[in-house]
Formats: sequence, structure tokens, C-alpha cells
Amino acid sequence: MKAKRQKYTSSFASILLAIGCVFSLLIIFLFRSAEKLLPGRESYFLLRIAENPAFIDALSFGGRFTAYPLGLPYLLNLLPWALAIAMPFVFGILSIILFFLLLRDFNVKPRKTALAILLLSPSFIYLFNTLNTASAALFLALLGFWLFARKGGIRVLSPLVIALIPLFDLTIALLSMLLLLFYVFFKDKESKKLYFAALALFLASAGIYYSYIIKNAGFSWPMFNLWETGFNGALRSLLSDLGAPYGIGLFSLILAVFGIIAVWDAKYENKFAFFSIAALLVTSMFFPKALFMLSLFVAVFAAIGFMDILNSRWENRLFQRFVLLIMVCGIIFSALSFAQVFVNSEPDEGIVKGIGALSELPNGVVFSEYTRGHWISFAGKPNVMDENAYLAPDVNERFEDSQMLFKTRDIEEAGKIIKKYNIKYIWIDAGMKRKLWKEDEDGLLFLLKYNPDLKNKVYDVDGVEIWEISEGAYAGSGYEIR
Amino acid sequence: MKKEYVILFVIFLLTLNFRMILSLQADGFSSDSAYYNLRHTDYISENTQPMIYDELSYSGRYILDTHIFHYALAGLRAFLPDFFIFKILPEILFALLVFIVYAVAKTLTENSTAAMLSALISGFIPIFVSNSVNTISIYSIVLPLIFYQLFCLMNLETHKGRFIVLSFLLPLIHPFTAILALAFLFYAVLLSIESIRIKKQVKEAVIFFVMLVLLISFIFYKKVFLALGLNALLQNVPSALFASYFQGVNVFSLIYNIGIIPLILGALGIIFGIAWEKNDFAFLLSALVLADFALLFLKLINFNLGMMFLGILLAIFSATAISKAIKYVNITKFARHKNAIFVAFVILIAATLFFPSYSGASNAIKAAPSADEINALAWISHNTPKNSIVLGNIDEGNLIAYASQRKTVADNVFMFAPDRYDDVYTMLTSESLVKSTNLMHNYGVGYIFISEKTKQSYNMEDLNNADSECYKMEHESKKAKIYKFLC
Repeated sequence: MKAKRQKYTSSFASILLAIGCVFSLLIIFLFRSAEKLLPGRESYFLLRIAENPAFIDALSFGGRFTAYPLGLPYLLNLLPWALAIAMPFVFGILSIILFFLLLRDFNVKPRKTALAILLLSPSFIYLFNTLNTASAALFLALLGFWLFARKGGIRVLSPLVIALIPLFDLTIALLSMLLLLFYVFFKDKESKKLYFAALALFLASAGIYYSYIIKNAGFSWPMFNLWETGFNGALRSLLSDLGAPYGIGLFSLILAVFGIIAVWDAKYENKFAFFSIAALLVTSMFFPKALFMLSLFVAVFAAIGFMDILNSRWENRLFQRFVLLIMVCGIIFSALSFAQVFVNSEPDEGIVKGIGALSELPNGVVFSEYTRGHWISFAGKPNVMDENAYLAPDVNERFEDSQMLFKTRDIEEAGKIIKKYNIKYIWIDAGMKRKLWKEDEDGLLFLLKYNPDLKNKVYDVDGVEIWEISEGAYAGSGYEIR
Repeated sequence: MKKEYVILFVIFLLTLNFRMILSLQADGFSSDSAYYNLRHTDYISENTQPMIYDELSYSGRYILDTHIFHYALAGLRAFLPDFFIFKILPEILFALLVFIVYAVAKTLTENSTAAMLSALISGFIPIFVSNSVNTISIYSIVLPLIFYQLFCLMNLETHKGRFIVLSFLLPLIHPFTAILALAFLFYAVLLSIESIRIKKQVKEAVIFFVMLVLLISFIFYKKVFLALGLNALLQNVPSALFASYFQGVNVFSLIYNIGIIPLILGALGIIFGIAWEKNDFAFLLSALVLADFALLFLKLINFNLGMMFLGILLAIFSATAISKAIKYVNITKFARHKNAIFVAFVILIAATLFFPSYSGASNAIKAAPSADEINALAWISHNTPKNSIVLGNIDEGNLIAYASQRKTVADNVFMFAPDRYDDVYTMLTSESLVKSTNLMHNYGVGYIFISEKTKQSYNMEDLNNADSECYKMEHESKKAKIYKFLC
């Protein structure tokens, strides 16, 4: 009777998990309006590239060599829009299955709890609800790992799968190789040969692909911070509750700490996990995409922590129940809080309309903050700069010029920068105004408002303004617009 | 009734009377936050719901507050007169702290005489009295409850239910409760450093409390944490004001503000408790001291609040030193003079704590707005257009909004407010008419309120260009001026 009830409970939990999984992967689809279905900025970039993947990108940075992985754009090329929506979901389902299989292979006990925590993890929700390179790369990494951990002949496929990852996302690819190294070193020393085979193939694919890119694009590195720095910045990129765009939930992390404490006595058996967590934690401070891999480990240890609290003998059962309840509420709160922010994240309807309006204007370079670059190029217009700052032409000079143009009230100074980049339009939206200026008449806003050479607003709807710089107006100003 | 309870009640009455005598000397309140609390309590009394968007503060801004305190005050209004709720009740609540200090000190030392002296000291900590007298302050319930929660943890076997209830209530009332959570973490660290095993039930209670505080804080202050990250703890205090924290703090000001008796006895108490006795409760209280220092050092709490808290903690720790001294005297030839020693000690407390407290509190009473200033603000409410904006001292922003019912440029509730600290300073003190009038134009200033406090805070006699055609004196009394901005 008891066994039957347990089986029934287990089946019920599995069904609940399956429903939770589908729901977690469809949050954007269910709650974001159809007009602005793609959240964020990277999805617009990938969609644009997917429509015509090539080694020359005429719109990014006013025209540059395509110095980014083209794996996903090529994969999307068949049916860009449909696949852009379907692919994250498919990768999500497959990744969850692979994660579950890996947990089974590694004999991790609270598998369903780990899965539930992962499904509620903000980084997981982000990763598989929007089009991004990391989702495909993480799926391939999990597949590679799973194949690597197999016993039969099928494991020889793992080097091939791992060699594909650099074509999708270099950060995830490098981290996968590092984790695989830890795995071989600490857990499965007998698979050294297979690891070297994987490493050779990985180096070959990554080496050929990125050497070709660097040879053509040149080597340039952004010297400015693409994200917030310092202690607060590090925490803000780690924890979703502190505003990380795809961080880890605070309560999952706390439970994971409990989990680590619970298994600390067997620390030598868990060296692979501990070294991986340490490496991912450090890497995530410089490359936030490492959080996607870290969240897998956090889910496992959080599940161990949860079960430890549940099964250990507390002197006061009331405190024990309350703590478990608080943890569950905390994890759910982090997920809901993140989902709310994510569903309402940029671009909003105003920006989507603005992108549409921009696409209908005559061709010309558009100046805006670099975080708006992907939207601008999605509208078919060249941007001055965007977020693909690595290996980009004159990236630091462009950044400095942009900052100067945002701040200056001097028309001569502004004119030089406008001429330098052949800027024809200026895109300003409400988010930019909040971020860049304190008052309505600061810097560039002052020039746009009062200078007759600039004050030609061609679009102003729902917080998005597009200003056109007229050639005639500049004829007498000593500089011309092409 | 036990003799010690009678004496304790006398100490309470003494503390309360001292506070009441001072408080009743002023018509208004000594802190601007009192007017913030008054406005929100009034709003809840009228509308039964909290003010989410304040149309007057900063000429319109969102308010981040759980409003539990304001609901409590509004609820009491149904049974009690306003005078009692706003003038007397806060003093009673602050004075009640002596009972809690007594209880904590007695648990710490198991010596009722030492605990009673500790309670007496806590009632007259100069910085505590001068910052808490004649205010409507949320700390009037937060501080007693925090120390009561501490007492409940020290007596968990008998006070478990109350500990759980307070664990839910405290983070809902005020985020300052986080100091307890931080202290509990320090407590665990301190015990592990000393290789002392923490009692299992206490450990469980600490985990429960810390997690609950985190959860409630993240639910209520979600937006702030998402927007500012860990900087949310700084409460969006303007950088210029932030930089001025701790200016002028030195050993002498510490002695004067906390009092030499609690400072010396408290320090000795910490040493006795931790190094000699390795008392579990002493570690717990030391963890609170550490947490307070940590928050002060990181400038995460207001200096005065941190010092008030430290003063009470040192008063509690004083009990350990006093208890040791009593034991020591009892085994010496001085034992027969112990009554004389006791009286001498009480006189010493009076001399070193009572007078500085009185002097500090008198200054605080003087800082309360005068009838002239209140009348000037009332003049604004009767003689200016309803949507006009009044510029004044940032530390009188809530008073201006309360008494004049007009929009303000800025006040000292900084969370979710734009940074106007420097601009207010410039508008009030700049010698450049263009500079100040440009800013006034930006903020839509209609009237300027100059009080005695404004003159002291900004070190000014009057507006620099008061005689220019941009300003017209509309109202003048001995202690307040109102200018109309014309440009």
C-alpha cells in the first residue's frame, strides 16, 4: 500500500515537473504581447544575421567583418522567425532531459528537486525563453558531457559535439572544456584519451574559425565596462534579486550553500563539483554567461541542501518547517520577480514601433547608445556601435566619441563627431534618457532642442524620438553630411 | 510585588517624566521625520489606505514604506486623542526600553541590582535622549522590539512563540531589523572562532530569523534591490550628504554622546563577558555591537541611530561590569559601605548622564519649529496657489509639506527620490543670481521659506540676492521669512 502511494506521488511529481517545465519555457510566449515577442537585444541581432548570414556585416559599427559565432544564425536561416520562437523551447526541453540523464548517471539523489529548482532559476528562464547563442551552446555542452559519460561506443561522438560549441558561443565552449578537464582529472581519469581527442577537435574548430575572424577583423578589445563593476556590480551580475539580467536566485544560492555544507564531509569525492563551482563563480564576474552553467550546479546543491534540511533532525520542528517554507517561497519569489521583469523588459511597444518607423526612413547611419545598436541594425540601418564590441573596428574611439556626443552642448564639437561617422539620424528613447541625462536640457538634448541645425524631429511616439540631421542645415556650419 | 520591580517601575517613571517634561516644552516636533509620519498617519486616517504616491514631497514621488507604523498610529486614533498618540505615546514607548534592558541585562548577569543600574543608564544615554525626545519616530517601536526579540532568543525555551511572531513582525515594520539578522550571523562566526557549540535550538531560530528577514525584505523592497542592488542599503542618500557622515566624530564626542559611564563599564563588560566568562549571551550582544559597527563603518545606517543603538548595548554590557564590581565589593572590607557606594554610583550616573542628556535634549527641543515658523507655513497654505512649489531647508521638507500643504523641492526621505541635495544648497546660498534662479526655474519654485534652522544649516543670514527684483518678501516674522520667486 505504502509502495503504491509512493509510486503515485512520484508519478504526480513527474507530471507536475513536466507541466512546470513547459510553463517555464513558455513564459514569454504566454505573457508577452505578440508585437514585441522577442525580449532583449541579442535576439534582434541573431534574427537579422539569420536572414542573411555572411562574413561581412554592413550594419554593425557602420560596416564590419562578422566577428561573432555564426552557428546559430546558420541554423535559423531556413525559417528565421519561426525558428527564433521555437528553437529556445526545443533547446530547453532537450537540455532539461539531458540534465536529468546526467544527474541519473552521476547518481545525484534529489533529481526531481534539482530539476524543479532549475526550472525556477531566473537564468534558466532567461536562457530558454529568448533567442540567444548560449542556449544552443549549453544544449551542445550538456549533450557532449552526456555522451562523454556514456560507457559504450557512442561516447566517441562527444568530441565531435564539443568541437561544434565554439561555433555557437565561445564562453560556453571554453568553460565546457574546463569542466570536462575537471571531470577527467577528478572523476574519470580513464577517459584522458577521449578528452585529448575532444581537446584536439575543439582547438581545431575554434582555432580555425577564430583565427580567420581575427585575421580579417583585427584584434580590438573594449576598454570600457560593458557591465557594472565593483563589489555591487559583481553581486548585481550574479544575483537576479539584485538586478542581474540573468542571474541566480538568492534563495537557491543560500540553499546551495547549505547543500555544500551538507556534503562537505565527503569533499574529496566532490572535487569535480567544487572546482567547477569555484571556476564558474570567478568566471561569471567577468563573463556573465558562465552563470548559465553555474545555475546547473546551484540547482543540484540547492536540492541537496533542501533535502538535508528536510531530513535532518531539528530540535524544533516548527523552525524546520518554517525554514523550508521560506526557502520554497524565496525560490518561487525570485522566479516570479524575475519573470515579471523579464516579461516587461525592453523593447516595449514604443521601441518596436520606433524600429518599424526607422526602417521606413531613407538610408543613413543612426547614432544612439550602444545598447540600442542591435535594434537599429534590425531596422536595416547602420549603427555607430552596438554590443558586439569585441573585435569591432575602432571600438574604444567610437565609445569615447559617443560619450562626448551625449554630453556636449557645443555644436562644433558635436558636428565633428556627426561628420566623422556620417550620422544621419539620432535615436533617443525613454530608457536612454533615464540612463544618460539628469535633466531635459543636458548635453545632446540641449542641442537637439535649440540648435536649428539639429532640431528636426521626424518621429516622436511612445517615448521614442528619431531626429534627422538635415544636409541643408549643415551647409553653412563648416561640415557636411553625406 | 517584588521590591526590584517597584524600583524598576520608579526608573521607568523617572525616565518617562524626564522625557515628558522636555517634550511638552515644544508645540512642534524636533525631527522632520515626525511630520512625515504625521502626514502618512493623517492620510491613512482619512483614506484607510496608504499614500503610495506623494504629490507634495519632491513635487510628486513614489513612497516606499510598509506603513505598519502609520496604520498602528491611525488605528489608535479611534480610541485615543491625537495629543496622547503623537506627544505622549512615543515617549512611553522609548521609556519602556528600560524594562527590556533590565530583562536582557538580568538574563546576562543574573544580578538584579546590576540589571537595574543598567536600565537606569539606558534611560539617560545622551545621544539616545536627544535624538528620540519629542519625535514621532518609528524607532520608538523598532528599538524596544529589537531588544525584546533579543531577549526572546536568550530565553527561547519559554519565549519561542513570541520570537516567531516578532520574526514576522519586525522586518515588516522597518528594515533596520536587518541589524539583528547580521548580528546573528556574527554570533555564529564568533562562537565558531571560540570553538563554542551553538545551542541547537538557537541555531535553528537564527536560521529561521535570518531567512525570514531576507525573504520579507526582498519582497517589500524588491524594486529598490532590482534598481540599486546592494546599494539599496545606502537608501539613496545623496553623495554630498553621505560624504559628510562621521565628520567631526572624535573620542570626546563619543564620550559626550554615549556617556563616560556606559562607555567604560560597557567596554569592561564586553571584556569580562567574552574573554573571562565566555558567556554565550555576551557573545550574542557582542555580535550586535559588531553588526552596529559594521553598518556604521560602511555608512549603511545613520550615525545618530548607530550611536543610539550602541549606547543601549553598552548600557546592557555595563551590567556585567557592575555585577563583577558588586561581587568584588562584597568580598572586601568595603562591603559594609555598599549602600554608600551604591548611592555614590547613582550620583555619578546622574552627573555624567543626566546633565548631558538634558542639555542635548534641550537643544533638540529648541530645534523644533517655533510658532513663528508654523504660522509662516500656515500663511503659505492660506495665501498661495494650491499647486505652488515651496523651496526650503532639505531637513524641513516634510514640515513644509505638512504645515503648508504645498509641494516641496526636496526633503530627507531619499529613497526613490531624485538627487536634489546640491541644487537646494545652491539655490539657497549661491551668490550668483543667474545660477540660483535658473535652478529655481527648473524646479518650478514659487515660494522660498527661510527658517532659523535653514539659516543655521546653510550658514546664511538671508538669501544672497534677497533685494533683487527676482524675490519679493511676502511674509516676515521674527523667526521666519517667505519670499515669492518672481523671475
